[in-house]
Amino acid sequence: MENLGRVTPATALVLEVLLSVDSVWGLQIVKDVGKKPGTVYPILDRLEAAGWVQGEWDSTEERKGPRRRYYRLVAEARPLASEYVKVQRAKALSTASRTSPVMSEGQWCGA
Amino acid sequence: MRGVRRTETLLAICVALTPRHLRAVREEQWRADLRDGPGLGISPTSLIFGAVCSSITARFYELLYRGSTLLSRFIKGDNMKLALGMVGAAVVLMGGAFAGIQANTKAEQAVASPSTEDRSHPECYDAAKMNDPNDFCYQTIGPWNSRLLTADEVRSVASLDQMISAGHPTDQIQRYYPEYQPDAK
Repeated sequence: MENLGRVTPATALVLEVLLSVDSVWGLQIVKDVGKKPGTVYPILDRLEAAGWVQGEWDSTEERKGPRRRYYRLVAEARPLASEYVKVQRAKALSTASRTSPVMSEGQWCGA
Repeated sequence: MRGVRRTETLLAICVALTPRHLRAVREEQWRADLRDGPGLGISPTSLIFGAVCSSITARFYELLYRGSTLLSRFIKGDNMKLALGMVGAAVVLMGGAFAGIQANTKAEQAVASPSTEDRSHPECYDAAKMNDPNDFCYQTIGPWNSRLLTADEVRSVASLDQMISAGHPTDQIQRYYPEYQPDAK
């Protein structure tokens, strides 16, 4: 399992979805994180290449034609993924709570 | 119909861009997503764009991996000797080629302008007259770089009579045959 290096907010969102379920369809991740497939597909590819997730085919026999690709977070990656998600959440909270130094009623309100 | 054809074409391009070992998996995955994506409110256009991004990213990482593998193989020393030898040979060849070009350039410059030791034969140092049939040196020695010949060498290939019949001025003949006096003839 390789180190991911830089983890973007979008990657953290994908990891959060993977942490919440055992196995999930790739497009379902796209729907849940609210990002485009152009963002999510490369993230999943990168996670798979790094050994964090394992791709597997849908085993439902009822569905004919091409099979859906499901993704599962490997056990070794779960603690690290949780850590990344926590850090991103903290960053997001601190950004949201920080007041921006903008003009308010004509007066400078810098921290 | 046109839209389906376009989607198929774009999908084929994405598959072609994808590294070989991933093509079968990705193609089936994308086809399944194209079939079921609209049911989740995800448009085929968006999915195709995702496939393009995915294939380009995969290709980029594969090239990056290949490049770093090749580099690490060299750095580890597996082919270090061979690589060093090739680099060394290339440097020597380039150096030799450069030296040769430099020497040639200097030689050509020497031909163009007369040097101090050859001022005694100015007529043989005019590059424009090298192949001039009316030139004294050309007439006496033929199409030859006459500057390479000393006075003795010129005399050995061109007799006084030859020089006279070539019609060259007295002073030029006297460079090679100082004893020549036209009045004496």
